[in-house]
Amino acid sequence: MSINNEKKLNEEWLAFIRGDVVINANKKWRLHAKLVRAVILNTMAEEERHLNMSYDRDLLKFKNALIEKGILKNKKESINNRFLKWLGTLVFGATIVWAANELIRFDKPIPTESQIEIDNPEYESEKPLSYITDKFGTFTAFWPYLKIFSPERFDDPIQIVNTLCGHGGLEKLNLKDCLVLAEQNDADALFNLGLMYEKGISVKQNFQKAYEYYKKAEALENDQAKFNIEYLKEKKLIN
Amino acid sequence: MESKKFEELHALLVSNDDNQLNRGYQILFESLRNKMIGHYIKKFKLNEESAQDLAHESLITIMEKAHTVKEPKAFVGWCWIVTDRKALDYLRKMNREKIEFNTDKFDIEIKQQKNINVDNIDQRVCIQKGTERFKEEYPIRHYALELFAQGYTHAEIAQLIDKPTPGATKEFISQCRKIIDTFIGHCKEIK
Repeated sequence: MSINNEKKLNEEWLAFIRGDVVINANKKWRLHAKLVRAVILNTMAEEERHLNMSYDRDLLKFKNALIEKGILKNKKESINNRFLKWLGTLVFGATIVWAANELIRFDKPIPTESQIEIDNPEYESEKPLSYITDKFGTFTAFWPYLKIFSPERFDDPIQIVNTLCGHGGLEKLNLKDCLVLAEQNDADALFNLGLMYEKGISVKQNFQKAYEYYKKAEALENDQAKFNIEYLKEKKLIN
Repeated sequence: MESKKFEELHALLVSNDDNQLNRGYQILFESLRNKMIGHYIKKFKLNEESAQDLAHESLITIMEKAHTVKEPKAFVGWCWIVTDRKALDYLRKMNREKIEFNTDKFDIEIKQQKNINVDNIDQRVCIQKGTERFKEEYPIRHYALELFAQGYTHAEIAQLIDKPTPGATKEFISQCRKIIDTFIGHCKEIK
């Protein structure tokens, strides 16, 4: 066989192996090549089938290895993280909105320059000018009546301007002034009267009477009275 | 043949987007896992278990270091370089020598016809048996022929079987006809 024929034969044979169509090819070699191609492809298909038996297991193993190395993120974990972040943001946002509506208040005047100049020792130990507090000056977070933070009861009289009912501390409560104001349905005076009867200041100690005054004050939306009523009930000082 | 597909794959693997990365690792696994295992078995004569382990390691390395490939066109070639290096490292560790390609020495003159008993078998079975023996004796040529049958270009095959040029690969594959004929030539006589 000449070199040219040999070369041609090789090319035709390889073309058949590749699956190409060759016109006027040597029939003997065509069959030969086609059978070889069929055998090769069958063997490969069998190998592929065999390897695919462990495909899913290996894919999972590969994925886990990538997650372990930090190349991939665990989808479940990232969904959980996203949910927690979302929840955290929601709670924080809700707290701020609620606090802004209900709790934030300014308890101290903002010192002006001229006031700072005054040598006033009180300003040196000044608390922050604003902070989240409940109505009674207690720090509170999302839940306003959280007992850990809120006081159990109130022992200080409510200051009422221009009267002796509550002006100058507990010991200086004046029964007469308080009664006058109580008749005018002053909730703070009623609370102070309750406090007087509870503590026995200027009057004989009487928890039942104290309770009645507190109830009246509570009916007039005095929040401190609510606490003191709860306290009396809890300590079983009233029937 | 695969270059374009691997360019797209490279873009997925270097992406910062989790969804794209998730798609990327699946496509990478699907495209290369079986081929790598076959490559290790056929080229380096490793057993299936070691081949699977090495393929796993190679795929992880590709995922880890895909960003170091600056030219997407070179990505597919780089993947096969990683694949081969893993095998060479493994063989070095196992104190084994790299499989020499000259086991496929072409010396048709001294080869005897490796006829087998053809009584009671048809031509297809005869060719299958002959091809199996060809595979045993010339694993690299058989591997090259497999790649060729799948439509790989000479340049791609050259890279996979460590031939210096596409021309040398073409010559290497062309010789297969004569060699395989020594195993299955007698089958042509079977009706």
